[in-house]
Amino acid sequence: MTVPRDPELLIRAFLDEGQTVLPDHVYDVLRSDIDRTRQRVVIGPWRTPDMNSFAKLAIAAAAVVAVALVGINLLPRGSNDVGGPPAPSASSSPSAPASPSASPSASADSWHGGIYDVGRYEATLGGVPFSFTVPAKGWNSFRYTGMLEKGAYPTASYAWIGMPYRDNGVVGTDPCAGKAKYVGGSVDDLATAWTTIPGTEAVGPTDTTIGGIPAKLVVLTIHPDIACAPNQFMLFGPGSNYPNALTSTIRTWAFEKDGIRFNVYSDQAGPNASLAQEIEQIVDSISFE
Amino acid sequence: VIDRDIDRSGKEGRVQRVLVDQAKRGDREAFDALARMAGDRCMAIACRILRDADLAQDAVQAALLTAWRELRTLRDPDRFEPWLHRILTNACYTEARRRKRWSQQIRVLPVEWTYAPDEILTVHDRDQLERAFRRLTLEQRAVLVFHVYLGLPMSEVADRLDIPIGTVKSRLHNATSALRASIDADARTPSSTQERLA
Repeated sequence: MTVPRDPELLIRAFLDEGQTVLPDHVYDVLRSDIDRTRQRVVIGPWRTPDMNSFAKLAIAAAAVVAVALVGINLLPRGSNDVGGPPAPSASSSPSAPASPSASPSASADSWHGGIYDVGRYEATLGGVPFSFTVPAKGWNSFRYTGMLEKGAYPTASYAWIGMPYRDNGVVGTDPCAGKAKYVGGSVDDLATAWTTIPGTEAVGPTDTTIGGIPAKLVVLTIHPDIACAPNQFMLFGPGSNYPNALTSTIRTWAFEKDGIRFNVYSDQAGPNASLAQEIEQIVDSISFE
Repeated sequence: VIDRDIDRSGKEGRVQRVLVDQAKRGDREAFDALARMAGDRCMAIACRILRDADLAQDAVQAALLTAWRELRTLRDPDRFEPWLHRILTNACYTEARRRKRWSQQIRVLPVEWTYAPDEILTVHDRDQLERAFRRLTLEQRAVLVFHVYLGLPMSEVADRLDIPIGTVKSRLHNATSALRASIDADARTPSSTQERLA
């Protein structure tokens, strides 16, 4: 007599069989690989809807420390000071290395996290050293390496700038769905692809320079009738940049240095002429070693 | 159906969340621990999609390295595993296609699994299912593995593979139909089961 067989059960049993353990040597090779591999620098909107309590605490602590340091710097110094510690010298001092103390195990990138006073700063991102000038007070960097921010989100006074970082060639094809395509080729190809992102209005590509290097600038604005919230409108694929607001003006520059494509990116949440001018001054001031 | 995913609300999920946060800040030790938490599950998935342990190891290694490099693009630490699985699936596709390019002339050998003694599958069942499974597209295999092996609901499979749920349903239907047909054919023509894998 034949015992009836359940095909679903057989298929599940078939899939249940087989290796389920990753051999140790793979972890060893992986460890060696990640020791040699830098994480991609990501420039993103400062707010993270799902920010956890650790991150909130860390940011709050960093803000408190920064405010304290600025306060200490503002205190009058001299023989009349009573009990005040000497003001730290590394904090937000113009012309100082942007990140004064990278740990030996960290990558060679350096970036100053904290408040930026008016002055010139040096930094290294993606292994590329550069310097830039902050023309006015109010800029800071508490959230991401390579990201300068100013103002109160989401008012028109808010903006952020992503300083030079390696482009990954991903350009949105359906930003609300997080879909994107890879664009290889030249800077021109990339900049042209930026103008095709659905749900955006593009001006450009326009010829310009970044640090004396020929670059392309594309200015994007967002259609008011996009089918999702701005924070779900992924301009460059899943997990990428999204507009600060529907009223954002996004400026994105592409240029090539040593055969590698780089971006500079800014998002200004609303119309604000003086802020736009500061963004322009900062980007124009970028200089490579 | 067993949900073999990490219980993200449980202790393992909480530990994973902390490790993801640390690794996003460049902590290689944290990522190493994260990889060891996720590695076996990735290997199980890759082995079942690719039906080749060596290729699966390569795919898992490539996926984990990609995950390290791109980790800062991951917004929600709780979504690490689904995010990793999407990377892994793409790595499996890449490995399989790379293999295909240089193995056109190579005879495909049966997978050398270590079988646990059981009474559900006969040797003939395995052969028939193996043959049928190898005829499935990689995309069909992936849907089958995530839905049947991992026990994920179709909506979660769609999310994890970044495809519409309708596509999940059709791929699942086609895949299970093909596998069922192989079992039915086996039942009808026992002599055919004497064939070995080509």
